[in-house]
Amino acid sequence: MLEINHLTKTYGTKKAVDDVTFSVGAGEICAFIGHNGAGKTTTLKCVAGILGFDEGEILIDGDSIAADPITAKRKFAYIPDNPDLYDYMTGMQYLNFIADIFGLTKEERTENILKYAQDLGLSEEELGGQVGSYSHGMKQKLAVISALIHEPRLILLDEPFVGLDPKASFVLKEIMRDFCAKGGAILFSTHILEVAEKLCDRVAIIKQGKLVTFGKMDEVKGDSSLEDIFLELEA
Amino acid sequence: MLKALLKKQLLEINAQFFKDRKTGKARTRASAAFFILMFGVMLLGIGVMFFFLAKSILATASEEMLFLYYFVMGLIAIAIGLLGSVFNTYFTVFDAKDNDLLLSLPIPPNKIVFVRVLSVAAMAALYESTALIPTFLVRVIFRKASALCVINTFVLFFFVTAFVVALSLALGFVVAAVARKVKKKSMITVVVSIVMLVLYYVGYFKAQQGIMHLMQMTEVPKAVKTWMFLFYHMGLAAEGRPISMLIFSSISAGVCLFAYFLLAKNFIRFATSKKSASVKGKKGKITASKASSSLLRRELKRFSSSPNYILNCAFGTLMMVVAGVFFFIKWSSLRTLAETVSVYLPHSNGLFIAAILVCLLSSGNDLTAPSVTLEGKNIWILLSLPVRTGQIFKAKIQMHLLLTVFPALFVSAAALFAIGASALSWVFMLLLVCAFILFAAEYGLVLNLIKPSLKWTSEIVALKQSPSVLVSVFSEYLMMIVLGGLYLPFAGKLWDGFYVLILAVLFAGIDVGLYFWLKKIGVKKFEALG
Repeated sequence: MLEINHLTKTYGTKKAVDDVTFSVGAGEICAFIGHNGAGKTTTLKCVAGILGFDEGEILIDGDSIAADPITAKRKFAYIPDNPDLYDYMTGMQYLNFIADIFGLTKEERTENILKYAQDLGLSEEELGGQVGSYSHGMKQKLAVISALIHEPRLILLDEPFVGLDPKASFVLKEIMRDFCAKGGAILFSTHILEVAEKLCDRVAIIKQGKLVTFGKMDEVKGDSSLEDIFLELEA
Repeated sequence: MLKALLKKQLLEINAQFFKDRKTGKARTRASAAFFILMFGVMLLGIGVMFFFLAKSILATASEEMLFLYYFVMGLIAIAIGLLGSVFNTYFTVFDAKDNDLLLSLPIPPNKIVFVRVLSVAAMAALYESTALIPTFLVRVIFRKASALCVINTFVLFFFVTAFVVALSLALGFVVAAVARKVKKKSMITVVVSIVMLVLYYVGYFKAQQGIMHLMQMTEVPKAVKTWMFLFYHMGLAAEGRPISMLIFSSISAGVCLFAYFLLAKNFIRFATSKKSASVKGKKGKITASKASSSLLRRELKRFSSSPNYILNCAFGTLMMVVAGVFFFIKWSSLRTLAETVSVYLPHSNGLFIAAILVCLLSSGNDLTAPSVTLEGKNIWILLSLPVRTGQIFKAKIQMHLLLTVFPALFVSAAALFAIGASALSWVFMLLLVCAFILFAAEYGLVLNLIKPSLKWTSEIVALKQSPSVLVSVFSEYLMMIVLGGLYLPFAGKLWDGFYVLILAVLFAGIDVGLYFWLKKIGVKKFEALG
């Protein structure tokens, strides 16, 4: 579903992402781990088409994000670490806007908005409130709903659990599992290694822009915990 | 403790000069020095203006009625100090960002209030000094002043400040209380700002007449002594009357202390009673529309949600409507004017003047010039969605056209009707106006794409200090003035309708050029903003 081949991104002379190659298949959840400034967000932004890159190729379900961005972008959803949404819209106006861009019919959007809003605990009255008045967690929930309503094939999440309450965090994990069970793929960055260990099929560890480990979760961690492996690699 | 609070307050004031409000980063030394210099020049400019105003007022005052000079100039200084400090009071005393932090620390509220009131006093003193210093200078330079008169003027400065602080605290409280209650803040802010502007201009012209009338009186009106008792004594105090000094200083200091103690006593209650904005609203409707309509609706929503955007970038709309109504009402006078023009310019009946004027008025709208900058931190949304950049540009340009074309057609129709233009003139002028408005929309967008700045912390700074906004407005004004002037050498040979047509064709050509720039280069620039 997602293929990243020899991705390199430089800022001036500094290589933020250096020859990174890995893939996430349909039905897989892949954790993307690394210390602050390792290159996780830059990689995710390159995949999402927000940042251009210098070398390499990114394919989403076979479509190149560089060569055919519109077709590629139709297939995924991206949620950044700090979802700055349109404060001047209500939650519902924002969801309608996203649904309009993806060309969803009224029936499709009604079903999905109500379903995911209910799952994540956002009432219709809350969706009628201004996004500017939302807490960080509510914005995160709204961003998750907006990512799911057009039924993407791939979801890119940057630190998705930050700011979510325990129930919403649990629901999001359930949604992620359910999404992958239906054949979707997820790549998400996180610092919460316990969640990554329990939730993910694959793990990619990045250090100073270079991919240092990638593979199936069980194979990467072996008998140790993911935390031990991560700390060992960081040492 | 008080020292630490004072230091924090000073750092806050310092940050205004040494920190870039657009990016939040520290200014370079050169940039800070330039900013301080510009601020100084601005204050000096205002001071010079008041110097000449004071001089003209003093010239009309007789020796017996000299106190009226300080009466008038003191009132002006109070108004200036109040205007400069009332919103500062709202943001630094009532709605300060560090309220929560300071209230969580073991600091007595009266000390927090004291330091903040000092900051308000400093701001009020700074603004009122632009009027009071020239007032004093004019007084001692152009009329003989006693030593007591000079001493009293210095003392008066402190008590005028105290009076302004009391008024600022009261008005700041009203603004804060209203801001907490009001729901549709953006529209109310726009309406209040426009009403204030109208009142300012009406007041400015009426006040001048009133001041001159007052200064020529030989006897003090009873109304001044009774209704303006305090200011009457302020005027007398400045002229060296000790009793009046005592009355003015004790009342001013009294109201200031009263306001301070009242605020200190109720500060915790006020600061902690702020309700967070309600996250709930009416159930939102699920509606479906085309992506292009949705993008346009997003732009309009952005526009209507921000009073700063409306007031700074769509003032032309209001001006065109006002001008249109004026042209319809005064059409007979304008027709006479057009006939006069045709005497001096034989091939013109005022058409080119009307066309240039409408274009100038429409230049007051520069909605696209900050539109990319205003995306700010939200830019990731558009960049990660499957939407062509051309569609995003189209929505921005459409918003400018929607808000500009209709009032421009209205004012054009009014002007054409007033000058009694021929059918062909109507066609040529409307063509020019439409081509120019499209030019302004594309031009603003191009400028913003050349120099966008997404890392701003204050929207108002992004709107007012954006190079694209400043360049687009001033260059459009300049362009139309030059193009208007260029007709004059040909006025004896060329029908002005034909000249208007040439301009329409010229702008249509530039429109096409800008369109291709946006399509080829602009798209790449926008997509590189991530």
